[in-house]
Amino acid sequence: MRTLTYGSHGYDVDELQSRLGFLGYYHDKIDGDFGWDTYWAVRDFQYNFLGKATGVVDEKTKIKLVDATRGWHYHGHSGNSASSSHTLHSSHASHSGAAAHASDRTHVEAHHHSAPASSSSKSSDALPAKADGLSKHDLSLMAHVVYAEARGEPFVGQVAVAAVLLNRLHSPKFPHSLPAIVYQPEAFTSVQNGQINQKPNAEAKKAVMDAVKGWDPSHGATYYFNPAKAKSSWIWSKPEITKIGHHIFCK
Amino acid sequence: MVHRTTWIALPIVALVVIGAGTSWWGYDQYRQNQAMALRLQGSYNGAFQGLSSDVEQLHDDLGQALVTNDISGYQQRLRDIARLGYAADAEVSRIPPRVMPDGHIQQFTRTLGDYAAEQATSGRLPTPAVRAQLDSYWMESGNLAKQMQNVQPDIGATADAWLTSDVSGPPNAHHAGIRRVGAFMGGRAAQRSPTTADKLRSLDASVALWMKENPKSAAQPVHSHAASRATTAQAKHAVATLIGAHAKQNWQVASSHGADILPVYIVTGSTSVGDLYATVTQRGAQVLSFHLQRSIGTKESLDGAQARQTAVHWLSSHHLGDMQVQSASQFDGTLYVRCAPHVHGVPLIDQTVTVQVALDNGQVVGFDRTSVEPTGAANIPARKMTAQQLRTKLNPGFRVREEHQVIATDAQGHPQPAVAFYGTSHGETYCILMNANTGKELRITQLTSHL
Repeated sequence: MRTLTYGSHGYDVDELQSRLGFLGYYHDKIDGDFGWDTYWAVRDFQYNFLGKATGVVDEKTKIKLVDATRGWHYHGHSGNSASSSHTLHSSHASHSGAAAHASDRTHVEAHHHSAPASSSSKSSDALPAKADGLSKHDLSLMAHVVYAEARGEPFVGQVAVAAVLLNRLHSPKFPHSLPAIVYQPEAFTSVQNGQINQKPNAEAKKAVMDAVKGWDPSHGATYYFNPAKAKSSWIWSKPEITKIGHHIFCK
Repeated sequence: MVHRTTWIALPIVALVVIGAGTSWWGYDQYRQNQAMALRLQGSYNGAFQGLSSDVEQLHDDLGQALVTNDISGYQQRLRDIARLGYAADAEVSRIPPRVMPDGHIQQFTRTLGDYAAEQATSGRLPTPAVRAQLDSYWMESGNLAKQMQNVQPDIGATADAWLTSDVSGPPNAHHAGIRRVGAFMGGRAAQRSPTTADKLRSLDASVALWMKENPKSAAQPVHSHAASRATTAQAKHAVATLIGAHAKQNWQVASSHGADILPVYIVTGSTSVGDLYATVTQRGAQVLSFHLQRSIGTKESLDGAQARQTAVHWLSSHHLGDMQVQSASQFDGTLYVRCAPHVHGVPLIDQTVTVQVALDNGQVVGFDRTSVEPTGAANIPARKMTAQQLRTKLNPGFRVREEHQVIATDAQGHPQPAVAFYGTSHGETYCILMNANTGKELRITQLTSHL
């Protein structure tokens, strides 16, 4: 039985959202992600039912929530594992006497057993709707660039390419949005030759998220190039910071 | 019976037809290439013309802002200048970066626009210091406009105006297209020096001097050189201690380059849990970051709360400071926990440390504190306003759900005492940071998006 808090993810969050929605506290989509909307819903519920709002779904909160949602029925899952050990109900059942709630437990577990087999967790490489001021569109575009420019490079090199995009975004010497940076004429070879349109893989997305969360192996670089392919002398004149894989990163 | 003549004539006719068809196709491809190259050239020409016009207008508006004595007129002109700065920024974005690789013109228009936007909210006519700054911008924008006027006659004069002299080696399709346009238009042969792009590059370099003399007053990180320079062995040892492993023989250490970045060692190698990448300061051998790359199992043995505790406990056990969790987000089996150091019990939220905790076994697989400045939070102004007082300044339509005392950096990079108000409006969650010294809004961050 785990404590759910902001940032948690999984089937039990799915159920938490569903139960809170049943009570009218949660109005967003049931996605199994404990984000801000879920957090406020939990706090509102705790304030009204427990008197103290913490935003953390501990055992006490779970018991109260299950008690308050006796009329709730399972309506399907979001592709998460149907592990009964991760349901809110199981924590309640272990404390409140199995007999009194046997019918509820049977009802819930029956749905769990009949749920179709799925992967143990829902797709975990879906980019978030927002991260550190960047929208999902921005993150997706970054992933496309990283995949097109640096696939085959070491993972660190892919993170470095993503970091270069962010360094340009934060620099007054470059355009002020990611699309403008990526599609600036001749800025990236992959845009010129169309490779940017390929679908990025999970590694590229992870590299983007690591860069967004602060990892910058390029140490502030705003340019990079492949010395085997660069033709212009102006890029060679840029002061080199580091070399990762086939790319030299410079400022 | 087919005549022998027919046997000979048929293939010849077929060859002629195929040849004519191929030639027509080839000519059509050539025309399409030229059309594309012309369109591209037209786009660059348009961007330059737009930039030139914006800079001239900026100069005019700055002059009017300096002349007017009417507050509303002054503020309106500043808003126009901010808008034009943004527009000029967008025009430069349409020109290839190789033409102006140092981006000084872009930096100039951006800083001018930001400055004007900031001054437009002052509610008063310019002080002598502001007037002097605007005057400086007015003079430089005038210089820039004049030089752009000198370049303007060359726009579109030759097909290769947008080639720079330093392009060497086999031309790519774009450059080849431009050269063919030259021949197509009956223009001169490719000119190597100086093209329009060369002149624009020189112009960009000329702005560099002004930018150096008028830097943004951002707080610069002070890198202490008091500590002695560490050896590579010490760097390896520092990393090994932090990740709880023994430094291996196959670990490699390289130095970073660059005069304006903190000199660090880059430690790479393999460990029993995955590939390692770490950065260590060359002075003092402090580990700034490390990452262990391994595949993370999909079965989670830790929940979010446990992972947060793991992160805080790990930081504490390695004497990395008194930290408070600011946020945590999960991606691909890893929880990214962002922690802020405390200054007199108040979290410094813009200099956070990130700890990555693998949710399959609770291992710390990443750590990053490169955003923490060595000066920390020196010279923080006094906290003059309470959260209650600041709350009255918020929009009544914003539903405040939580408030926390924090220290945040302003636009110039200076730490300020602040209160963070978390709340909702129109179904979205925002964080509004209010300066507890001046009572002004520092910034608003939108935390959710329901688009």
